[in-house]
Amino acid sequence: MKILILGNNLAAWMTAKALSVYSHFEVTIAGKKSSNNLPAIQSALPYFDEYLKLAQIPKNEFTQQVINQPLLAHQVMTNINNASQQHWFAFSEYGAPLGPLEFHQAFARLKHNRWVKDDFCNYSLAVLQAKHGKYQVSSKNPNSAYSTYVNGYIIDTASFIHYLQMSCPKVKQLDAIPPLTAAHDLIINCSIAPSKMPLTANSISWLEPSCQKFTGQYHKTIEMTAHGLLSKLALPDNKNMSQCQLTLNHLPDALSDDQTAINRIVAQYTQQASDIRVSKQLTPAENQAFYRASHIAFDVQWQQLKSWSYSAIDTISVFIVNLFEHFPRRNDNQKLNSIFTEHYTKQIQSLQRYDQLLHAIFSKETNNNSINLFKESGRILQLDPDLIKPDWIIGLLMSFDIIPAKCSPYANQLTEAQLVSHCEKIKSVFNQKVKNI
Amino acid sequence: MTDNNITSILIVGGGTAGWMTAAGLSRFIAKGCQITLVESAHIGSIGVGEATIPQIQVFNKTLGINENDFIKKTQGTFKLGIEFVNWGQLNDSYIHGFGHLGQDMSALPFHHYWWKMRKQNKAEPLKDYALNCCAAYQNKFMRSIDAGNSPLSNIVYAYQFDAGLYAQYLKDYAIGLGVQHLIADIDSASVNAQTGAIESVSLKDSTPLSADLFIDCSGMRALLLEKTLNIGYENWQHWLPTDSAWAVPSEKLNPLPPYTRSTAHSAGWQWRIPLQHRTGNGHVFSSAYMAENTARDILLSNLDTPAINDPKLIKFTTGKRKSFWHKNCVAIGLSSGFMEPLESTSIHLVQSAIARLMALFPDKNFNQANIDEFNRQTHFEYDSIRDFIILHYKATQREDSKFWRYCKNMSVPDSLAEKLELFKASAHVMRYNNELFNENSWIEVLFGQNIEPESYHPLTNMMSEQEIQQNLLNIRNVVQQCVDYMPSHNEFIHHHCKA
Amino acid sequence: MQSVSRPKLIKNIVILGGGTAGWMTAAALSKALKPDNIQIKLVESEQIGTVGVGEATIPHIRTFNSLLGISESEFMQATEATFKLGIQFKGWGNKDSDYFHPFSDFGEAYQQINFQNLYLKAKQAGLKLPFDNFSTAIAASREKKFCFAQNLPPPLLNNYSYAYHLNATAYARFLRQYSEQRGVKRVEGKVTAIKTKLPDGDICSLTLDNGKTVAGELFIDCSGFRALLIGQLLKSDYQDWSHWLKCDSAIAIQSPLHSSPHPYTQAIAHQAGWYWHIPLQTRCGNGIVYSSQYLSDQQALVQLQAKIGLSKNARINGPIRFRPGVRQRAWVKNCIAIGLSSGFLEPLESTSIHLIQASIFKLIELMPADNQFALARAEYNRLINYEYNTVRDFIILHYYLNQRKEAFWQDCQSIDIPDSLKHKIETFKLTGILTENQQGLFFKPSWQSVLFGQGLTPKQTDPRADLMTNQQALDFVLRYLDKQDETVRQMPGHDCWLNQIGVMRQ
Repeated sequence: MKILILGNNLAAWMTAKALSVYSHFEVTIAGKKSSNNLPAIQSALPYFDEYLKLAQIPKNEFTQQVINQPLLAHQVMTNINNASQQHWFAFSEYGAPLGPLEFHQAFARLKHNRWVKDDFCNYSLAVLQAKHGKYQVSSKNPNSAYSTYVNGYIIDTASFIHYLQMSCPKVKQLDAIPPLTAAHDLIINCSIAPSKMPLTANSISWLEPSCQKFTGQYHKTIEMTAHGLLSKLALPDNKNMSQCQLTLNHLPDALSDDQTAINRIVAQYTQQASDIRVSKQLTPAENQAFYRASHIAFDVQWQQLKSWSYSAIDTISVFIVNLFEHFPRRNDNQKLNSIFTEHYTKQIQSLQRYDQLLHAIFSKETNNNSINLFKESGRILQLDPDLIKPDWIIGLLMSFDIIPAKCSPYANQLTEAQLVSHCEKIKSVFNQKVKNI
Repeated sequence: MTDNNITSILIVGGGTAGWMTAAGLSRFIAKGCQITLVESAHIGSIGVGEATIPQIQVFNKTLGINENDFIKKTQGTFKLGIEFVNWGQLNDSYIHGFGHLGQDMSALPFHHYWWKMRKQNKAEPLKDYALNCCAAYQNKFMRSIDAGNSPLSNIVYAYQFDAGLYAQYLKDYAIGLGVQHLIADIDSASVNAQTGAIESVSLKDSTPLSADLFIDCSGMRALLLEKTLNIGYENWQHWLPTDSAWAVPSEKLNPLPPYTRSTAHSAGWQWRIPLQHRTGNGHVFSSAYMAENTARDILLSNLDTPAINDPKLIKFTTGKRKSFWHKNCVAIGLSSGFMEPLESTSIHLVQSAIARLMALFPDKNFNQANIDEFNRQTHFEYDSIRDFIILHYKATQREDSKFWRYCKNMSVPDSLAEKLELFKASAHVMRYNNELFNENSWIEVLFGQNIEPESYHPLTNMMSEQEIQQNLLNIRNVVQQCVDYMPSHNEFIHHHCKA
Repeated sequence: MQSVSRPKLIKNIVILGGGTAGWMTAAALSKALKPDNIQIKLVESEQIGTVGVGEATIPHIRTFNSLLGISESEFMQATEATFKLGIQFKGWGNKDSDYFHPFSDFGEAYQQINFQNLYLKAKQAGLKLPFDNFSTAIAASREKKFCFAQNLPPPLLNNYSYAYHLNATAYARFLRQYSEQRGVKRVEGKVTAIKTKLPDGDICSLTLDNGKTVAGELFIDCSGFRALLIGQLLKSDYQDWSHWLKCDSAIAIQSPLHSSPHPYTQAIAHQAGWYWHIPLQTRCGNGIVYSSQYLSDQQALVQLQAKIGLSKNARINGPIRFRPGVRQRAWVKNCIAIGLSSGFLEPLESTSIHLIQASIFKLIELMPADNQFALARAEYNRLINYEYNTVRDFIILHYYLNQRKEAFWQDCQSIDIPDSLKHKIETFKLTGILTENQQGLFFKPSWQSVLFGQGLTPKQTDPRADLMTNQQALDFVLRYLDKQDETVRQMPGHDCWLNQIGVMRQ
């Protein structure tokens, strides 16, 4: 089967790599390599593991050959300069349930009656690790405390692309897009706007989801700390800032001193040059340590970054997983294509719902369904599909002091002392665990 | 009298609907049946200034109420019709007058002749041919007199009065006829698990009140029919998107207009109901298209006389119950449904429900056929009034606000769509099965809102144009002479029924 | 004008009706709630019988039992239970067809190429075996064998799972004991009147024929088809699905067991519906489901008796009439319908107990502390509707996809099926792909077993599968089959297990 991928970018290479599992496929990537190199650090949700599985990339190989770091939690801030704020979006459960009593409901009861002064986030093993700059691979054994969380990733996309290219040498590359004829059994479009794409019966489009775009302003920062990288999401400190701001703390040596070069590159990826500021905060030596790979063209649509919660890597992963779930047949793909689009859009929407939720938290909106249901019942809306786990959202809401307005019936049947001792027990176990890592 | 007769009736709620029902029933249900009305001390009735349609005269007459006495005691005025301002287009105005429109000529309805000539610019506006419209605009009023062929022999009118005072008037009447009156809050109701009928209603700290027949006059809450029996509600907001009203009384008007006025605003309309002692005003609007504060400001800045009180906000959902009579419970008044008072129909709906209940009065077996017929008739009445009200919104040329653009383009019930189509094609209006609003009402509103039929009855051609024109002229002259003869509304009230 | 009521704590939960639904609800709630905090009362009358007889389940029931902390052998002894690995469908699709719907996946994947594609390729290389031969659970079923999943080698695991056949009345009795031990108060009596609190109209108490009054803040309607609270009083609309599911009647009879029980349910199609056959430890639940439009009650009874070879003396339950469908809102005001009062789907895929259980779990999750629960209620109703819809589509599939010649079946072929199902079937037919949801019941393998079993083979395979030649695929699936045969050969018999657990009565 001959497959043509349009675009020479991260999406194209991630797709090519997944397809290369099937040795009988002839994969060609067509598109100009960008002459400028821009590395970027992106965060990926735990969903990225699905992609690794599909592409049959062993985890240890990924760890060794791609510059990346496990991500357990995002720190969410209403002010980028106020590091003392403890809001977390962690890929984690919190505490442990007591029978039908979910932990956050128990905690809410104590909070109502002022029995705890603690932050809810201290009951997440993931947050505790993130705070202390520690990391332990999560466990698959459901009885282990280490099974209460999963990890996402912080990935240096440049080194990731490099890895992908090196590991699928059979993929052919063309500098220009060839005429789209029947010579290819399948065309996957990773770069051209769908409206401009001459659709053929067997092409699959890398579609921007047609749902509402996030328009809020925010910082998304991935920052080097003494412990390693820390991902931060925050409101802007500058009211005049337009759209979004992405701060890249890590720049390769070659670019670090050349502000004009940086600006030129940035301008290339955005319609409004003022949208993105690139700043440099690390010393060249630190950069050196962090960057080993050479930097390769990176061409993911920057619009994707206008999101709090997910990055281009996430949407690409969702795209590929769905593509493989609904893998094009040789004929009669029309229906399949629409099903693919429907599923893909729904999953992206599930990510966007989370964006809207964060926005609602920050802007103190009163008519957000999820928040209202949570306040009333302590439950999270269960929508299908949802790539963001209810536990993660519960943690986020609780850390912003959005707690169920009243005690759950299960919390009411225990005494405060019982609940406190339950909390204490969890805390001591968790603290011990973190200490041991 | 057999054992099967209804021997006890409990009316829940004491607003206009409750007391009208109590008065109506107490007048006609023989002794041996105890009628009790229970009302809360806390819940005020909604009625502000209430405008009516001519059918109310029938109700009052059956109760044997003296008109002058009643007008005096309710600060009432007379009403010849409703003026609609800004409905078809901004600055348009027309009157939906009660009573006759012109005079039929050789068996064809008048408006076909009129429209034939009007199309050629050979006739005056329609209102000039209707006594009620002309008299209204000149603030004149009198009752019919015996004047042979003259329109003065047949003046059709209704009233505008203070609904609270009217309820009070009927309360005295009903209690005089033996209706037991309890003031208490209703706490709970008990439903029979086998039959699904209401067994009893309990008051706070008191023994349950049981009855054979329960009448739910508890207003929009519909305590019995909805809250207890869960009948369900048919929502009409997609056709009638208004859902709120600010109401405020203002000082009285002088001279007193013998008509109600409805002025369209950008997301609803404002009523003006002149009473002897003050004026009732209100702004009905859609909260989806206009903020509450804005609506309030619009009302206050469009009053003809200074406001007496702070405006009160009323919320409502236009629609009707899925049934009006279920088992042993009948809903009368707002508990049966809600339509905005654009055509002053709410008291009429109460009165016709009472009349229907009398006609189909049950025994203890509660024959289902009786109940079905009651519901069928009530549904028909609701639907036909609904259509007439929707007509005012649909037949607009306004596009100056989102609200009006929505109304202009919305789809309407089939029954109305068919009527509109028929009229547009051939100027015909068909009235089915005693619909409340007759052909004249439809014709006045349709022409008033600039709906222009493509043709007219072909048989008008049997008469020469000259002849028609002469007839039109005669009618106009007669109408004007009659109006000249009539005293002013103020004078008439002063003379007969001043409060 | 809405009146705002003050929050009122829920202190008493009243369950109306003590069938399977009532006692399952009581048991689960009594486990979750302490009686000194929230009192649970169950009102039932000896005079009102329950519908359930021999009942087949799906594996989810084990989650329910483990939530209650019930030991499996104790449960199996109390309910005459046997193990169940799937359902055998005979005569569905066409008169001679015979396939299984197992509680497991099929075959083995290769390089993420799912088994279905390997199977289709192997067929092109000459494989004649039907799809359902490639499931350990089915192979074991056919040989009346059984074992627990942990004893199976990984490739054969296939998400292997099991459920039970049980006596539903005994299950209710068992759970009653469980509940009463945990403080549930059973109140004997028939409801004569229901009292509603005004102005909100919430139910506040039930009056019984013996004069007792049972008051509460939350009511659970388990009154079965009568739906005394949710239907008769609260008039929650019933969404009627009889245009999709034509069967409206059932008759049940018990019979003695002639041989050792097989670990699967049987659903055998007849000219206007189907028979069920559910083996318990010492006897068998049998029944006929049919459309009264196509088959008279009398004829149905005669047919059923002939089928199981019973004398006319056996106790007959029915004909029971039903109307497939669901309440648009299962939770109205302060009343939640669970069981038949909330909806009905014929037990073709043994979902009745599951739907009860799903309702209970959702209720436990969304259990309100006081009477301010409008959003939780809306969420509950949305979730329950979703649950019913997924089961509905799957059951319609069995009827729609057939090549039989009888009038009933011909008419089933021309049903205007729901769009959701139409899409699913068409996509499968063209591409072999099955679209999936994350939530709800019945995933890919279930659909595969019915689609293949009832004669629908996809036109295309996944191009990724061309990594292998057809011959290689054939070799691969046959190798799998060898392993499966060997595994099943080593499995003990179903009755051995029953003996071992000590539930077999001699």
